[in-house]
Amino acid sequence: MGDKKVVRVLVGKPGLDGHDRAAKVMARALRDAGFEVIYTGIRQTPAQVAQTAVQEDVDVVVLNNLTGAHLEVFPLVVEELKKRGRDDIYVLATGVIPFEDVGPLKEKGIDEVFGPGTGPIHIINWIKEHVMGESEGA
Amino acid sequence: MKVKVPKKKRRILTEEEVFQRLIAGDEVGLARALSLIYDENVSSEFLSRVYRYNQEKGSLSKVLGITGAGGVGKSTLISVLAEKLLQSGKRVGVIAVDPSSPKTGGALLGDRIRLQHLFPNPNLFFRSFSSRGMVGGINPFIFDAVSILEAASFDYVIVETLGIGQDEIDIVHMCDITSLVIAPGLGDDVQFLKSGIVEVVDLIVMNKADLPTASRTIGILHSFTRMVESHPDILKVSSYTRMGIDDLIEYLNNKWEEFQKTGELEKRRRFRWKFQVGNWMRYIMGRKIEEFVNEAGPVLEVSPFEIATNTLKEWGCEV
Repeated sequence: MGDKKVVRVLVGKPGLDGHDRAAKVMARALRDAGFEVIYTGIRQTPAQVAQTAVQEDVDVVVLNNLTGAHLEVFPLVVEELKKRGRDDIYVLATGVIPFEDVGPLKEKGIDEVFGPGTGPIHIINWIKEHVMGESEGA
Repeated sequence: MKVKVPKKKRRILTEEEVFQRLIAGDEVGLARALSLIYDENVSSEFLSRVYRYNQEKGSLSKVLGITGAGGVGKSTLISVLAEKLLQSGKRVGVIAVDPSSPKTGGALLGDRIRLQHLFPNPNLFFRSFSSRGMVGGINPFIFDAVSILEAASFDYVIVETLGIGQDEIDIVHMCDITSLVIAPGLGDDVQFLKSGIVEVVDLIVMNKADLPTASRTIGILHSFTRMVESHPDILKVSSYTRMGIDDLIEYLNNKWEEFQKTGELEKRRRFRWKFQVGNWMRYIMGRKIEEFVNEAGPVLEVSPFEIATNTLKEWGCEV
């Protein structure tokens, strides 16, 4: 006995960054797309984001940072997830990320990067394709 | 430079693995167990194992319900309680229920933000649930989530729900002790009179008691609760100044131990089991009814009552 699969997404803001408008807009857009969205709030350590992702058993973690710390902070979240045995959770990077940082982020385990100007619909579609497409096939 | 990222395959744990890791107190196992109850493919055997395990070991988790209107400070109060309990070496598990969107089924689950500063912490577990469109704020899945947290042997299991009206009292059937949180300046005495919840909770916690208007609200409350035959106790706290928090914990501990001695705890937990049987039956029948109604073509010249009773008879229910 159960219920239909609902995609769960964590919107995380690791690092010392108080600019949360984008994260909140994104959280709302993901909710309107039918996902269950958990928001960590601002100024989280990578360990806080990772433990939250584990406890909430999310399918995707969407990271957002607007201070330029993404190259340092985002891979640490990937590390922390791995430490907790949950490196099978998708990690997406969003924020003011220059094009030349996309490759290095992906090398460090970020699954996709959504830089400036990306609308929420692109993130929603990516999640639908990778998470829901997968569960339908299984 | 293009880096190819292999498509991730979600690591699947078998029910056996989830169960073993759950009772070993493993966080991944617990988190997975809580997802498993929502999974279409979960066997009823999995949940029966959880209930059997709890019954055999004897669950000593104190299951505390926290309910109240939006904005009274439920989540903040829980964060302050959790902080104190963690300091005294206790393990705390929290379940918070937020409403889902009636349109898309999506939900924005934000109760966690008030506790995030306590993480990372190996002794604190927090899980956000959406109501998934079910009325009363509580669905049968959440009842079973409490049993899963008990199987993980937390000292305290705290359940937070949004509840103000007469229909939203299910939480008292789920928890050992239920507190209604109120704050000064929210509604007048008529609000209390309207709400049936004052009659069923064990305790009223007056939060934000550091505000000057608190004493007036307390006065109104006292005058109302005097009229209820077995009225709940009233405690004043302030999550902001930490006033009364130690007293609240002491009160809850004493009450729980008193319930344990008098057999009230046993009585409540037996009732919880019965209530949950009803929950599941209502849920399963509800889905069946919904399917039927979606397909039933409107035959406007026949009364809906006739269709309903005839259909139930066809399903083998005595009407």
